[in-house]
Amino acid sequence: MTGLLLICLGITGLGLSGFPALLFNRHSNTGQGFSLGLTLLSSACGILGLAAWWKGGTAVSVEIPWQIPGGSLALGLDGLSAFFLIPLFLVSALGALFGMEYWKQSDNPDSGRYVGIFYGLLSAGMGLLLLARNSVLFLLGWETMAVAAYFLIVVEGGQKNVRQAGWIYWVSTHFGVLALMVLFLVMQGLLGTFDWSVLPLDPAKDVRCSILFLLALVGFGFKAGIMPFHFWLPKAHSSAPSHVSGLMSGVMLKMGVYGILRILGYFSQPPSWWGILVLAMGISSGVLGIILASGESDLKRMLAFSSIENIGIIFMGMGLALIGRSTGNDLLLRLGMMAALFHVLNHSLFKTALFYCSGSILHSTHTRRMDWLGGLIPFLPLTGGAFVLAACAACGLPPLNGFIGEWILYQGFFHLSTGGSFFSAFLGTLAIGGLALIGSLSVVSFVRSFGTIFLGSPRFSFGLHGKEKKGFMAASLGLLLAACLGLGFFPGRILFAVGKAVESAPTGLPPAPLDGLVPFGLIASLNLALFVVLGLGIGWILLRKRNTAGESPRPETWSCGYADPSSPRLQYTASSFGEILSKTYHWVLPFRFHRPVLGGPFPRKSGFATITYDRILGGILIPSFRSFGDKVSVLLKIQQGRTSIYLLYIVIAFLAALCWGSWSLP
Amino acid sequence: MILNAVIHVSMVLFLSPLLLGVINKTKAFVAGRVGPPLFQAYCDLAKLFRKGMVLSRTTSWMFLAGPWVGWVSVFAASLVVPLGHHRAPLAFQGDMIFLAYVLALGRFFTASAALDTGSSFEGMGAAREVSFSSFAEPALFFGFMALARLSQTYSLSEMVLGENFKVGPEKIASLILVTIAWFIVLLAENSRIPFDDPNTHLELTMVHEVMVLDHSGPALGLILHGASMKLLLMGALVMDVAFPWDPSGLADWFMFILEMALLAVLIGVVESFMARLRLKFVPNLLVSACLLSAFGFILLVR
Repeated sequence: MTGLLLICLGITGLGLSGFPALLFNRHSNTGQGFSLGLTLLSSACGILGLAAWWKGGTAVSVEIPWQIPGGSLALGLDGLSAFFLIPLFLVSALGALFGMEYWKQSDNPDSGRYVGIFYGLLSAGMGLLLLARNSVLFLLGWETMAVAAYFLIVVEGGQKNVRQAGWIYWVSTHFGVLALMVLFLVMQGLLGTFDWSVLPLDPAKDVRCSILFLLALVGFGFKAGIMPFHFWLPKAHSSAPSHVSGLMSGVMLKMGVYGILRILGYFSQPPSWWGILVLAMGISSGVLGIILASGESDLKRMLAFSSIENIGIIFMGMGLALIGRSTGNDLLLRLGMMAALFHVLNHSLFKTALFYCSGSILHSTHTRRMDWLGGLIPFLPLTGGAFVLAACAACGLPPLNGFIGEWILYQGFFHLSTGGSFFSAFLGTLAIGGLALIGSLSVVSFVRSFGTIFLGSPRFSFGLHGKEKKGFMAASLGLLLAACLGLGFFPGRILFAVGKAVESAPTGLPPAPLDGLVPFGLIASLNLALFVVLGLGIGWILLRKRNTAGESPRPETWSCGYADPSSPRLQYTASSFGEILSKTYHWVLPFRFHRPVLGGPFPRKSGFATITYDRILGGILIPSFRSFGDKVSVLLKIQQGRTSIYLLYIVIAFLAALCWGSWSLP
Repeated sequence: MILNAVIHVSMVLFLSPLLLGVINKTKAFVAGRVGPPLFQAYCDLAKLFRKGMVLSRTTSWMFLAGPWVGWVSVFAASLVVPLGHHRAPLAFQGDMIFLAYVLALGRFFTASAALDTGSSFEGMGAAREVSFSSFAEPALFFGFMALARLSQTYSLSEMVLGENFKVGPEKIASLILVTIAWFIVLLAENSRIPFDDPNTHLELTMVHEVMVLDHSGPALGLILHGASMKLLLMGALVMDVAFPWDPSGLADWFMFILEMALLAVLIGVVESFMARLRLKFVPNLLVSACLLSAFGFILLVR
């Protein structure tokens, strides 16, 4: 109970954290400092609360009557909520720390306090929805999150594409909320109250259950950014300030995952097609997401596409768990849930770190176009090193934490494909092939972005706007990477939290230790050994570089004698690096060439560009919405803006009501 | 147990460059030349480790980190691969995933080191290396699935160990398919003909070699030795599947050496009689390798 109290206190503190800044001058950083202090204090309070709760570890709940019809302040804390609260408190605190330097009040007098307030509200909304056990309360938290995120996306609303991103986000998130409202109304119809409890239906027989499941998949899928509901995500995440993008990608997307897991927990035995559907969505989202990432030339959009891929991996884990649950195979259930939850935590760490890196790059170069950068590593050495580590984690490479999650997931699919029927083997083949493809394609996309941005020589003489920040920005990045490494070396330490979450997520699962399922100890020590060996070598290289600096003039790159030092634009760019893949996968990754038009004498100046676009948004949604808009524009004739005509409408309506009333009277 | 581990590690470290010699001798024999000596690779390595390095002014620490991480990752990967059905020094549940991913770690850093030179040749090589590997990776995993299904175990050493590997004639077909698929993957991953020609003089057509154009001295030595270790470990994988017989103590190590020599001769013969594929057909061949090994797995499920 103390735990829940502390966590509530922490969430309230987070929600209020932005407001102290309003008391101070818009040009001074004092207010932001107070906000940061409050955020750190609240997060510490929340983490303390989590620790206190895990010590006991029994689910607690409080219910306080509330005036709102149907609503009650039903709060609860169980393993699943507690697990998703970890990244929330961690990333909120680190993001505020990063923002202290990245979005400094004195540099952004107009938007600094605004960002602070909505940042706090975004965190608090997520905290509220994680604790809510009542539909109305849940939707309150959900809407707070969604609306706060909207205001954070449009911070730089002066730019047209930012406004467009906000608009697309707004429409799609509320489409999701619509599905959730229907879902909760149907649930209320079945349960008789908006408070949540296990549904008295047998999903195998009752078709209503499947409708509920599909509604949850759509409603929460929009937030999670699973394909085909992903189209809002790249624009929105790239428009927000980088520390906010980190919170959105690292934590907000996971709220969709949480919602699906929570709702699934209220069904007894799911039919097997649920798991297959979730798995298929996961595979397609993972593979297509990473293919899109490998064709993207805007750094933050590329990171957002990689988030879509990682959400796909999480969904694959959930699909495996569902298949295990419907076939009664406990091993698959546990492995799938464990992999999904591990990946939730891992992704929230490394993706946030990558967004912070992008913030640091943006801070120094004022551009997100990878093709314009290059050779940044001497100017941003810390960011460069951090990017390598975080990118390795994102690719699932040992010795970092990303590997642990994918390793568990692979083992689950190996179990699926080696035992059982032809169909499960077929699913296993698709999943393992998909995972292998995802793993190797993410190496392509991250080598591509790291190489283009940090290695080689600068492609344009971009002015460096200020040096690398080595204060708060570097500190928060370093803490995130320490967490990534720590999870890679000691994954067993987090196992108890995962175990609690697995026990509480699906109903009727007996508690059982997870540590015997996969050899955690061995892989952890292997990771540690690998890291030490690699680190020693790289440390020696850095030391040697420092000692030999300035000794003798170093030559140009030999490069078969071709190199022309005056034109670094001859280097491979991000688009040339991804060309092989974008040619192979052109059916997913449509890219248009803008070829130069040159003809006749005295041709005019022309240019060449390749542009990739999203097939779902650009190919289907926008044209269909536009044609729908054209069709219904006939209705505009009714609305003319003249008062007399509106008065006429009122008179007609009144008369019609009178007629109807007199007809229906006996 | 310890003896086997010592033999394993020393074979990986010291025997692997010999494979390159055997391949080159075979090619020379087919072409009617004398060819370089059998131990040429050892001489090359000894020479490279004694030399200094030229580091271009474009490069950063990544340029040297690439060869180091590449070498360590191949060595770490070799620790989980059973050589000739002997249990590998490290064997645990899920080690085949570690094998694939630690090799990917090496690829990440090698390709980054290539991009670090800022030369478009090396960028080209890096792009090809990582893109082609993404086509080959599923083939490797489908093969693992077939072996896991056969043996109902989830560790490489267990998969190919004697008692788990007794197969009736009905399973032979899928093993053959996996062997062929993995042989294709081996050729691609080790940049052999028909994917890549280590001897070509046209950098525009190369894959792996063009990535390391600017490395010299000990760094190049590490790359060369890492490449030979990778050839050995992938060769061991192929041969473990191709010759599923039980280990019989020390004698089996000689059996393994013979198998590897046979493989090297086979690669040499392939290189002698085939030309390089056109680059745009490389993905097709790798995708067909994926299909072969996936089909090998599906045959087992029937």
